[in-house]
Amino acid sequence: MDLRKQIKEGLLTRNPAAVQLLGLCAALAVTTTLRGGLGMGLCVLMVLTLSDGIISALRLYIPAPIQRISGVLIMATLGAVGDLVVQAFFPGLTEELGLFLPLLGVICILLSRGGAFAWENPPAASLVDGVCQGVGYTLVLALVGTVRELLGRGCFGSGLLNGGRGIQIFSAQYVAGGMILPVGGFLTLACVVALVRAGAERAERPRKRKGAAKG
Amino acid sequence: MKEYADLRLTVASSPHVSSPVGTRALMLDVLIALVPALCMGVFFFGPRALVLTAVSVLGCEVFEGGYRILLKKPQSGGDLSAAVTGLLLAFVCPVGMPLWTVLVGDFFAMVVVKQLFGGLGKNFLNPALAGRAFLALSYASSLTGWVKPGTKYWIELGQTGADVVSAATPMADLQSGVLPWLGSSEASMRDMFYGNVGGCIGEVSALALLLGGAYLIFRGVIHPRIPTAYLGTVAALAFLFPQGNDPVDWMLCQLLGGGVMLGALFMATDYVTSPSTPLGGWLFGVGCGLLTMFLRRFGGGPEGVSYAILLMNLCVPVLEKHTLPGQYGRKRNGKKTGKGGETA
Amino acid sequence: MKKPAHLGKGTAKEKPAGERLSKEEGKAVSRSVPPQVLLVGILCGVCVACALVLGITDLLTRDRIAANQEAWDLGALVEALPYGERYDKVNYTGSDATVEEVYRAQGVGCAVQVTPAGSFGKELTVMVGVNEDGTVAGVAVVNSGETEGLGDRVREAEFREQFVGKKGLVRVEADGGDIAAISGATITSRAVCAAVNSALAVAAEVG
Repeated sequence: MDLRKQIKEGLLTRNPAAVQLLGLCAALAVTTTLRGGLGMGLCVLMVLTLSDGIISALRLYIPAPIQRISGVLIMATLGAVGDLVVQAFFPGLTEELGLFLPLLGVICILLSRGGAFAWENPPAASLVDGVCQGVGYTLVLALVGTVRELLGRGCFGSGLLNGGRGIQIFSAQYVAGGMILPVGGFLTLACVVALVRAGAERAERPRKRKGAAKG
Repeated sequence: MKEYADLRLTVASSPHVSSPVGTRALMLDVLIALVPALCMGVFFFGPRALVLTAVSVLGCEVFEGGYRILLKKPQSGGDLSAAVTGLLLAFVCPVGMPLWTVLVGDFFAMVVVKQLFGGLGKNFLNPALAGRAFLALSYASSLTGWVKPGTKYWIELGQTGADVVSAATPMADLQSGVLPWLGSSEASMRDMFYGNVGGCIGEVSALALLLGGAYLIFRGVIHPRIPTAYLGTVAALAFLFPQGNDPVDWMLCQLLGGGVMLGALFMATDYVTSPSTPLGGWLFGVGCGLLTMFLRRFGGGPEGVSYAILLMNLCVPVLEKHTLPGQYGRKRNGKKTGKGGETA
Repeated sequence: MKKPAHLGKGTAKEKPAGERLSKEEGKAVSRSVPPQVLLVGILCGVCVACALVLGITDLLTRDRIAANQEAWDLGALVEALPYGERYDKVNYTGSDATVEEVYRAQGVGCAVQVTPAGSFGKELTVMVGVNEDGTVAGVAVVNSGETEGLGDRVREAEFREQFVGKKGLVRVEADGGDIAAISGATITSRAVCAAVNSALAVAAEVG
């Protein structure tokens, strides 16, 4: 288990949202605020890690023909459990995520590619993989959410900081409402994807040639 | 070796004609053609119209230049295309628009719509109209604050649309199906022709825009086919469906009111985002006209020009592909003609 | 960890699992049991386990979720009809299809949740509180679904406060009434008026 490699992959070179372009419907829909993006990302992180761990633990006891089905079952169940838990303990987040909370299971299935990694690797590595992928996803969502909230509402961290009101960076009359709308979502996501991919490319370049390559 | 770097070798297919017309000259003609409309805008809405326009033009040039500096590309601001976009964007804003809002629109138009896709010639949407669409989504209230013409507006930075004393516009009356001189704007046909009505800076004066358009056609900058198709379709549809009013009156109101003149003569004819084939141009104009009337009649707002043109911009690749002129010596389906020499 | 031999490396291998299973699994299962049963058995086991987990979670969280939902609804109620201590749900059997729910607060009035037909985004839900004397106590927007900056501005206190104390039919200024619509959002403003009118009618019916 190459920890460095897995971290680099999860965050940059195989970032689920920015490089593999998975789970984008949530990345566009719930990222109107930082709380939405962060919340969704962390939920995905938890469910993904847990299901990767469980699948990996069971991988020796479930025969090959029913592995995929079992994987989907397990992830869907954990997604539903996550949905119920969030509804019970985080009503504000439930309201914020709306329709996309029930999609937790689906997003995890997508991000883990049906549990592809977990079925072939020991639990420790699978847990790490789940965490890395989840963190990568969360980072992208949080970034998009922050930008959209900043430009679209003028505040930072509404629902989280400052007793729920967030820090108002600039007055609400100067905000570009279009950033809260889907058009802003697409634009911001595109910029974040470009950014992450640029970083991934730089990370993939062999160190020796770093000096010679054009910026 | 340096001399080779300085040689401007252009690769293009024949025939070759050397002409003094470059992008800069064309854009200069467009700017000249827009001057009458600017004058009328300032005349009716006061000096602030001029300030808004100047800020917009400056903003566009700065954003384009800044972007190209940041990304280490050669400067292209000298070709004045950014200035034209700035002018047109200001023209589709009401005079009470806060200055910083226009700058946001400029940024969107220049950086997102134009430069991110590759700069001049590579954008697929009209930058000024796309900028306006973004502003409509983001600052809707600023874009709907109409001032009564003749209210001389002085310069005030950061003034919001809320301070503007709202006045009814002819387009609002048309949306209710009422002729403007019978509705709350009380604008006569003559008012609409000269520009003595509420509306965006550059769209109010049909007379000034027609003068500008005539200049452009005379100079060969634009071909009359797109404006003719566009205005013709609008006129025909207005005449056929006058919503209970006198057909001729209704038709003239639809043509003179709102942004149709500006759109047909200056926006729809933009080289980059309109079809380059003749038949494509006709279809493009008709499509714009159809969509404009459709959106005006059934849409949520009183105006449909900007979205109509943007939608048709999206259709341009398809239009061009299917309206290519026939090749000499071949039939339209690609087969060679029999006697060797006649096109289909 | 010792791997049971018959399962290979745990990936979908092309080897016919049937034969190997029946040979090596002799200890755990009787020789005559076909491998399909094992597959189905394991799958069922997974399903049962999942169902158990879900069931337990539901049991544990059901009450909290219901409480949260109530608190949320209560928020809108309190905004629309302040000073009520208890809001009892009334069974509405009237003809107005846009009315969703009716609540009664003894001695104070009633609150009606309406989804008016004419909203721009078709998702507007408004809670209108009506005093005992038939005047509007308050208006709360439960769900908007409107454009931010335009229709969504009906959430603003300034707009909603106009309705307080009104009786009879309310209309926007453009229709001859005295409610100032949000500029650029006449359709949504009209829809809110329609909601208020529905609520007033219901309140009169319910008493």
